[in-house]
Amino acid sequence: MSLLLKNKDGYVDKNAEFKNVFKEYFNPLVNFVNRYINNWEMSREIVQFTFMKYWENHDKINIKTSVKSYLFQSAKNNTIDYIRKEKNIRKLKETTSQQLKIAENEVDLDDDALILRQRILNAMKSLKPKCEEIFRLHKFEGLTYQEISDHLNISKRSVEDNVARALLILKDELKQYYS
Amino acid sequence: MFDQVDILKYVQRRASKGVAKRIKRKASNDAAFKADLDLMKSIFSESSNLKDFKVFDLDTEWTQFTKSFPSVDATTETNSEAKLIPLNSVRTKKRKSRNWISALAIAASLLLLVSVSFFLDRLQTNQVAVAPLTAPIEEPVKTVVEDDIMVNIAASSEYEVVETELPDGTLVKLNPNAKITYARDFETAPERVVYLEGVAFFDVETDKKRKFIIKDYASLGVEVLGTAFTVEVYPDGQAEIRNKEGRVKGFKVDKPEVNIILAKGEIATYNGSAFTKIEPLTPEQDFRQPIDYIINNIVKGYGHKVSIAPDAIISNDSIDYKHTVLPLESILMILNNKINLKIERDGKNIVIKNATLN
Repeated sequence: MSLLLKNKDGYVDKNAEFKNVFKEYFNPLVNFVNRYINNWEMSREIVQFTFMKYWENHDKINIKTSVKSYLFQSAKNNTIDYIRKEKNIRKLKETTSQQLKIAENEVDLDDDALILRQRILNAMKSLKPKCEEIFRLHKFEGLTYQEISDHLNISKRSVEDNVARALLILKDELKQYYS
Repeated sequence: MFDQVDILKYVQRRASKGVAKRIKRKASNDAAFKADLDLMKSIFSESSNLKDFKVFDLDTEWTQFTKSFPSVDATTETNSEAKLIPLNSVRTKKRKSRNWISALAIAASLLLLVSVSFFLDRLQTNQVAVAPLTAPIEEPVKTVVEDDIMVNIAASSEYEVVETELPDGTLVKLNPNAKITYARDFETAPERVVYLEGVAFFDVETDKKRKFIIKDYASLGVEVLGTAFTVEVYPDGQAEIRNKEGRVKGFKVDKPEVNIILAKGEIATYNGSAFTKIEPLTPEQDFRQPIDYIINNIVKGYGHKVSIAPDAIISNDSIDYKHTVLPLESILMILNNKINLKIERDGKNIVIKNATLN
């Protein structure tokens, strides 16, 4: 995957393409970073900074794998730097040492899963409101079909139909990324 | 062939044996169908984890990003074809990169002054027009990256005193040319650390659980145990701490065992390596300051080079002052009016001459 799409004249819409990348990966990256530092605000700062560095250097960066791999690795490196510096500044020996150990050693948090979650959320905008609500109640809130049926005063079969329909629609929406 | 509920049940592993067998058979013969099934399994599985997936508003984040990077067009629409720019033509913003940790070891021309005293009464009695004590600026606090850490910076211009409030409620008045730097998570950090360059007044919000520490970029640290105190750090790295209320602890950043705790009314000087207690000034002394002290310490503390002409005689007289923070322009105006000297300023250079001979 290449960030910069060159057309036949050697021109590229960098801003638009960059914005696409930003919107696709921002939330997955924040959730990824937060697993290490358990601080949402700082996680989003680190991700903002990750994109800043990427934007500053994207002409120079030789991305051998993919933009996704680059961004997740860069975010992880920035997180490790942050933890190290916090340790130096504040002498938070115990907690930051543990965080650092985890960050340095744990190579593969499932970045693909995080990206998929963002894509599911985006794709859910395609669902009709009632279908979206039922899918949300079932998957996000963990309600059973019967509980949803009672809650919305509809049949259990209707609940199941809506969940099945939602799954098919989401699959169709996301197919473009995984085919 | 299969209705949607059959597929759902298969994904949920609760399809009947017969349906499951037929679906598997089709999947083994139809790669596209198998890919769909795999994708639906992933969707169904991951959507259960969405309750823990934190979502930030992407438009807001994008706007913030574009503010930090003016070279990115904030108005760009996704998939827009309107803005085509040549490759390599985007000039990235050069950022000042400074290691704000290692910078502690770098001697810098600083003057840290909390609740500093100047000539306010004199100004008032002589009706000298002065710049306002505080001048509003549009965005006193900016977020920047310093050595890979995002920090907040509040800074004043050369002629303004800027008032700002830290996230914990601490009030800071920045003298001209002053700057404070603090981490973005200042509000939640175990310690409240502020790095100061220049002159500032701090009215510290009490928080017994989290220390408030002011550091310069050299070796001095000041830990606030009370709320009202005075610290002056001179350009040569020396300093003076005046405690008015509560308790204040001065310490050497790289050698914390070198420290001093001051009770109410106590004063200590710092020579860059050790602290020495000195006798407090009487209220009358505290209200007057020798002219040479003002020139040599206060004016220089604004980061200016002061030259005194050979024919200029600086008297030992003291003039009235009161604790406040004034722009350098106002201080120079007072000196011009009250002493028989001519003060010329050229950028960062100030020359003091004998007024009667010029």
